[in-house]
Amino acid sequence: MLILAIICLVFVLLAIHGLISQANQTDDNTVPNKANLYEAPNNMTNYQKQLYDELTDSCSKVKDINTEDLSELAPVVAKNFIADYFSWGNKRGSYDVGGIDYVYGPYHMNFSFGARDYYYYQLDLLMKEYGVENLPIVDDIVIDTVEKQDSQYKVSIWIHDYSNDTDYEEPQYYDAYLVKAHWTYSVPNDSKFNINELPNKSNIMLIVSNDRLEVAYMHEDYVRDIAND
Amino acid sequence: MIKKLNVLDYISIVLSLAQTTSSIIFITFVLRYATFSKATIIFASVALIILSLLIDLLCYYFIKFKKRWSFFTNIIMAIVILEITITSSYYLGRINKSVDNIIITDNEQIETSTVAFVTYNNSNINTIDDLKGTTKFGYIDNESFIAGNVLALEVVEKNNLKLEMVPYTSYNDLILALFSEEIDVAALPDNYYQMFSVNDGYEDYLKNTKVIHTYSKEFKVTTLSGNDKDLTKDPFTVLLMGIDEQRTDSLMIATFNPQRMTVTMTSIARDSFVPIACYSGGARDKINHARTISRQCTIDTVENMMGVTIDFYVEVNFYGVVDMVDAMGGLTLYSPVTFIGQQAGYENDENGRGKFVVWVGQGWLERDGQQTLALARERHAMPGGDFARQENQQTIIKAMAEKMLNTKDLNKIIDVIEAAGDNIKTNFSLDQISQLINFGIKMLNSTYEGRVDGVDGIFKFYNTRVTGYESWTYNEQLSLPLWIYIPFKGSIADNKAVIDRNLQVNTTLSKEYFSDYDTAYPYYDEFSLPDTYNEQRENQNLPDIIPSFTNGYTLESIKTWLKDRSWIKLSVVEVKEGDKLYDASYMHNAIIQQSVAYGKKTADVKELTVWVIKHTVNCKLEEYRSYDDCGYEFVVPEFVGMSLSDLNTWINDHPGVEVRVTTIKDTEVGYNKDFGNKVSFQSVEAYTMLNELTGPIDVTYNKIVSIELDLPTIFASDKTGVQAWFNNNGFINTNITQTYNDSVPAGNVISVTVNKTIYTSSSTNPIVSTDSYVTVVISLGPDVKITVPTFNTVDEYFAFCEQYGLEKNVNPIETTDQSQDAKISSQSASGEVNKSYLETNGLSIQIYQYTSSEEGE
Repeated sequence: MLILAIICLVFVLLAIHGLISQANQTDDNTVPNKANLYEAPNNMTNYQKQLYDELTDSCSKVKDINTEDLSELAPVVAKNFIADYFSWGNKRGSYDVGGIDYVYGPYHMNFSFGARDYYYYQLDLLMKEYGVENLPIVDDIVIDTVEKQDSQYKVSIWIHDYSNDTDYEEPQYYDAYLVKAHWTYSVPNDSKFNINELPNKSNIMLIVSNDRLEVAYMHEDYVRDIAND
Repeated sequence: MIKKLNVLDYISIVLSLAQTTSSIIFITFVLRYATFSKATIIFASVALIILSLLIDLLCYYFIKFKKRWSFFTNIIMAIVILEITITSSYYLGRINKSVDNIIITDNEQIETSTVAFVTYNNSNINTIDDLKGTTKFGYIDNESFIAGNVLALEVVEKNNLKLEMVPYTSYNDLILALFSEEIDVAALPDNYYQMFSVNDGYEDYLKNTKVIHTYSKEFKVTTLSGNDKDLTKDPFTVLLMGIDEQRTDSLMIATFNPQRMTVTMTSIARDSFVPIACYSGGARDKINHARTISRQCTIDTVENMMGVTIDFYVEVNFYGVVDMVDAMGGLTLYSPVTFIGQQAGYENDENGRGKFVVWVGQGWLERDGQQTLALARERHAMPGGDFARQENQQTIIKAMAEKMLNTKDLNKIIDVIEAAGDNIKTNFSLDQISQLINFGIKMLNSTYEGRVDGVDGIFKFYNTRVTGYESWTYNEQLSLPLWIYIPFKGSIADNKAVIDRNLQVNTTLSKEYFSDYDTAYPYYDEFSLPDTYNEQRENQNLPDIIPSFTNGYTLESIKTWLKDRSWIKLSVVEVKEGDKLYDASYMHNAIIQQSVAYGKKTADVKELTVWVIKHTVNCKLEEYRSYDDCGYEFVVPEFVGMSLSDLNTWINDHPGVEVRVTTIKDTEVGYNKDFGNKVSFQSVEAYTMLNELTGPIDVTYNKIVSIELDLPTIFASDKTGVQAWFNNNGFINTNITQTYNDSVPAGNVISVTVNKTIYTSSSTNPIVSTDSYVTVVISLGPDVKITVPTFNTVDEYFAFCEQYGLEKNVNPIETTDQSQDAKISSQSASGEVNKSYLETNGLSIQIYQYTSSEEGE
């Protein structure tokens, strides 16, 4: 009887612990891989899992990211970014913007806001109209070219000085790689969503920042010349 | 046979029963919040019940078998459970009480309404017994108005009063009728003073009123019941109302879309002049007056105005904001200006209005409750006026939500809930609130490394406002303007579109999927609606009127205002400590009274007197330095460290102050090398009031006389840089000229002449005296050749002059040949000419001017 009482007391304490730790719960269902420089995205598609494994493998081969040629890592990073950003069928809502982890760090929030007001703007309506399971996912990416850039990529960080209410620029320069790729989407057979309306190619500039490669720009139709920045 | 129980048995029984009772009470309380975590709470409750029963069993076991171990186990466990459940029940009880105050579960509520019969101070009417058949009695001709209609008519009937009944459609019309003595008595809500004192100019009339009778009654009031939407899946709307003395001083429609994680916050100006849903015929009035009728009237009015269905409401009493923010430990908020705000409640004057004593500093600062509320209410000091106030309110709501969602301190959470309990009303159910909080916390914690953190990384806010234009009605009899704000129809439509989009109402899918992104052109959230719309405006031209100077004006701003009204003579009365009107709670230099009432036409005013609070100011103390009285023109500055040019500027700006400057050169005894070209001593302490000086101020200036002329720097500088170099090094006789030079590029220095010695860029740096005469010649670049054409017409000449920035110079010469009139006779230059020549000598033409031979005689 005493043992039963102690067991009940333990259950009660565990329940209280569970209640408190509920505030810290997440719904991530991924296991982070410490060998990878990038966190695994939420709710990866099968294709994303395959790409993520490739990324882990590629990352492990890089000994010094600041001195080595990254022409083999760059396309793998680009593929993972494309697959996460452009896939909708595994997203929770318009706010669940894919690919943020691959973007240049200081611009995460800006990128997220831009995506939520453009590419992801209608996702909630599309989910309501078609059902999320009928929305497209990227199922195959082909890398067209990878070019190490001769010029460094310049990023302007704007700092606001509240003491005199002015903004000033702090430019940063990074080594860069341009990756051009195109891809295809898939949807369930009975989905009415027209994937032909979606973007299927991009020119992505990756920069060496934060000891890894990060996306600095992506344009569907043109390449911006960074030599004159 | 029944065993006799001993003391230990009784102890065991009492403790067992107590812990069982306490556990049951605790479970009853906690199950109310099961939505937070259904499985865990039910699981814990069952386990607690089992534990509690086991303790009871142990008690029985001890009584029957007298085992000592069972007694001690029973006692200890009972005490532990008692401790846990009593403490938890205490906190839950506190929360429950506040939650019950906040959440209105029944859409029919009992509220007490009170009517006041109001007349003017000098009236002979003092009680309702003085009301006769000739008394003109104003009331509201609409049953929705509980105080002004239902209660008023009940009093009249009960007391068998025979009166001349005069109906009105709104409380504002009714009170204006009383002010102008159209009626003798008005039936108004008992808090009419606080209701109308915010209207500029009403206060002087309100002070002349008195209440002769009040009557209260409880009424069933129906308000919008909640909605059973799944708030984690379906978009919903909330009407946020900030209440001050039954006026909706802040009105906002918020919508939340859980699939987009977007929140829209649409502010509606409190003075919006719109049809009020519960007025007869939908007559228009300021929207904040709708609340004086009922909460439902406000909700219906907003729904009608915006064409939006309101699912929920949250009504916050302004006092509640103060208590809640203080309970949270303050908020970090930004103010673009420093201002003195109005205090909320508690220590108001006898008429209930807060005094302007709350200091709010410019910048990002930690704000307490009073400062937060002052920031939420302030519009006069804000650049942007009422719009800035609306933006601040939206920011404050967001900051409060973020702070609460990130708080893990249970005591703080309970304090905030208790603060909210007396001051917030809502028709969200407890389950829905739990659902939302759970959802918010889950979303905030639903991140992985690289995902954007914080509230802004998850919830995207779209802040908009319904804009409109100012208009007025002017009451000639009372000389009183009523400022109103008429919303643009276009603004209402655009705001509705934003709300509808977030609610997924009437939306059509676009086929554009723009995906480009570039850190060189970061995304700029350009979402904003126009401030103005091209619509026909109804506007009654307001005459130029006297403002309410006691509302945020300073003496300086009054003088600026009077510059365009030079016929008005201003007199200023300083109110100091010991004077009858003096009040230490007012800020220094606050205007507390004006001789001419707000609203009076300036054309009818010749003289104006304002009363200004003057505290005793000690400029030498840091806390007084920001006062106007310690400004530049009134005090001795910090001369030590000042340059000569700044010193001379100050002396020129203060011609009435004698300043004796002793200059010590760097070659002389007494020179202080730490103050080269600066003042090192002043005989009068800084911040001494100038009007307290009894003699001259002596300052010592240390002059660097011998200085190395830094030729490389000078020759590398442009005109501004050259001037700055010589100024900063104490040269007092510097002349900079410019000339054309074929070999030296434009903007570069050609030569530097010190006294009569010329230095070039290749010269060695000389040591010179700062008293020297210095001439610096700067190149304008090579002289440019300009081809001056032969002008056929004056227009051609003018066009040429404008092109090259030349002064036009036309000299007429008389002629009697009419055919030559206005023709060009000659010009001072033509062909290839140096630009420098034209700039020096100009370019002129002579034209014939016909005069008849008769005129010439």
